Amino acid sequence: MSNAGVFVKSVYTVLFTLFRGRYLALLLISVTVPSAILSVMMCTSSSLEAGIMLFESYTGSESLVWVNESLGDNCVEVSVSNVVVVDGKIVNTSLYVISNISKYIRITYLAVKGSINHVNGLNVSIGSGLAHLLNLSIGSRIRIIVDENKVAEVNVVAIHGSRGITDRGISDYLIIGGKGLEHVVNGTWLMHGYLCSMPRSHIMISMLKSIGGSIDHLLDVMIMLVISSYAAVIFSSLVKVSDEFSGIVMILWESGLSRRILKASYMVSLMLIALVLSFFGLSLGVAIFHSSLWILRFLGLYLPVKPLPSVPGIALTLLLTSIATLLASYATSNRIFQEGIT
Amino acid sequence: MRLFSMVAVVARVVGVKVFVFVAVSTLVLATILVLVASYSLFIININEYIAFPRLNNTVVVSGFALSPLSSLIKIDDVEKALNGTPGIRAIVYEVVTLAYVNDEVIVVRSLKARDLKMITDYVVLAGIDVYDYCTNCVWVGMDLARKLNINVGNILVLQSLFSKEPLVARVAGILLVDKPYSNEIIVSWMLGTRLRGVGDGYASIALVLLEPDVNKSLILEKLGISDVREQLLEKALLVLKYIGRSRRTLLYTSPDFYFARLGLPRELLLALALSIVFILSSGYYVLGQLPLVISREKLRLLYEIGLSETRIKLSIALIVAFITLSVLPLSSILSKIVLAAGNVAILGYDVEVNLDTLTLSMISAYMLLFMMLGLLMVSISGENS
Repeated sequence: MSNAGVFVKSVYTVLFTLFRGRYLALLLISVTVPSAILSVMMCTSSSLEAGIMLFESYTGSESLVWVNESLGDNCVEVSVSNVVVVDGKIVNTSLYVISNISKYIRITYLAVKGSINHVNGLNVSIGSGLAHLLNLSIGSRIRIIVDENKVAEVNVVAIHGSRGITDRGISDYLIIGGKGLEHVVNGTWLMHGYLCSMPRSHIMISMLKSIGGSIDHLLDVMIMLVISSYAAVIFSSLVKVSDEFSGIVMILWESGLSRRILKASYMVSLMLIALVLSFFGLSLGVAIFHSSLWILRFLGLYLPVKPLPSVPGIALTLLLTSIATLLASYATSNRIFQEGIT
Repeated sequence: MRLFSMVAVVARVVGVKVFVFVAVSTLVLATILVLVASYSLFIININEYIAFPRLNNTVVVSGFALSPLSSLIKIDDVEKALNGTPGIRAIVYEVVTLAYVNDEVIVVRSLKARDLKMITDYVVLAGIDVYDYCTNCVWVGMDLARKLNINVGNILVLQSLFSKEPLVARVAGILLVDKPYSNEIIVSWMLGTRLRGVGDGYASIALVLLEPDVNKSLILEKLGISDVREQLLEKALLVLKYIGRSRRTLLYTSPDFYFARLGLPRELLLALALSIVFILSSGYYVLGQLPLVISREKLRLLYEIGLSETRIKLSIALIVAFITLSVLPLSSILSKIVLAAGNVAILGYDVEVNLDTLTLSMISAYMLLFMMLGLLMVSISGENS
């Protein structure tokens, strides 16, 4: 028989012994359980990604986002200043100096009382909440202090507010002015940028990614824990497994096999069995995660996703299992051959 | 043979190495279990963490949605229901919502300045004190400020889930305040309602502060809560049914509300926790069998010289139980170290391992149950059932 044939036969013998042996339980603990745990973690991670895709399909109503660079026609240039309104009460608020007020009103869907066309020069539109708080009406004249030191008197020519009772926004407390107010502010902006109208899903996806990021972070921490701790567990389990092999190695040695072939077949068969058990663990993890999703349906929680571990994740798990097994089997094989074959 | 001597003999026969392996594996599996349990319990109980009163004899009134992040109550309804009730010291209204700030999702809480002073003992570390008439100011809790590197005078853009417009705000102060406020952003009442997308007259929760000798059930009666809800009252979390019911359709028709209840992450974590529990069950099952399976031949000798199988298994069970119970506090410490080293947080709140005795006892019972089941299913003769 050729060397290759001897090697295959030897691997087969070792594998057969191992599968029928008492140490299979040990390998189940050290290889299958961590693979299954990694698999459910990967499924959770891919469910989050699938969830984000689900939210991407929802556009919802429009909302405004703040950006530094214009994103096109749905944007309006805004400069924000801190102002103090002194009118009986002292109220701190923001003054928005807007390049194109009609466009701003259009993209914010604001309801405006009074003539918005007059929001130029030292004329402003004030939010309905602010008007209510300070008891102001169209035609009132108010004193504002910009950036704590520049005082100006402005005319209230319009009052703006949100349209719905339960759909109120922060514009209720804003003062809006046109380019004419720029010389009052004189460059002391809190912020300068663009307000752009975008689908609401944009914010939800950003938020979901942030929350998903913190869950992913927990999963990463746990994956690191599983990998680092199981490196030790795999090694100690293989030390025990090597005890089982002393006997079979002696038999194979006595039947004329070379030390090199014996060592290689021991390492390869252990790696093969670890790969099989790891793949079994990964599949078990997927089955268990899907069963959990199914069980949750009885509690009224329905997740319309069918997650699977990512291919790189599977490859990495199998690679790590192979490396850990190879290193451990190399170390333990020396022990067997020193003790068993001298 | 006396029990102690019997256990010692079995331990020597099985060998220290096997039990060390069992201990290490149990430690790793228990740590994973404690981590998942802590994180899942934290996210499941986050509503109570946000709304739970930190003052004695206080009742929290929430809307039907149960989550303070999505519920709404009408202030007038609460006032009417509790009007004339003796023993109420004060009613504090809070609006709580989520906002996206500096790539993080943070809880924004708003309440009147005098109410904040009443319910917390905060100290202004930097900047100015909280005041009601600022619609572009935010005050940041110290822990959050440290985490996000926020200082007084910084400009933050807060993108709320419920408001169509972002808020450009100045950091007016940093507050040294108790949890959970230390990981939150505090804004004035006026601003908070608008960030939540509602007008005046609505709140997320109402804290009804009672005089020390007043019974909470009085409030229950006034709000017309049935006896079924009494268990919730023990946690001082009331559901104001008749206020919420009329708003229920509004609350659940939009994905915003599903999201504000942390719908997807919450359900995924439940699925993860359930899956981990299933896997660990099989892990503990096999781990319970391990000492006997590995040392079967040596243990058979003990059996043949007259020690019964029940006694051998009892000895192994006692050793395994001792290992498990010793390892559990260690796993709790290890989980704390892992969470602290990993900076694991959600909505700005640090996730903590804070499992009570009951939960820890349940975890030990669960681990031992599957280990003992595994041990019961193997026999010394080699025939597994």
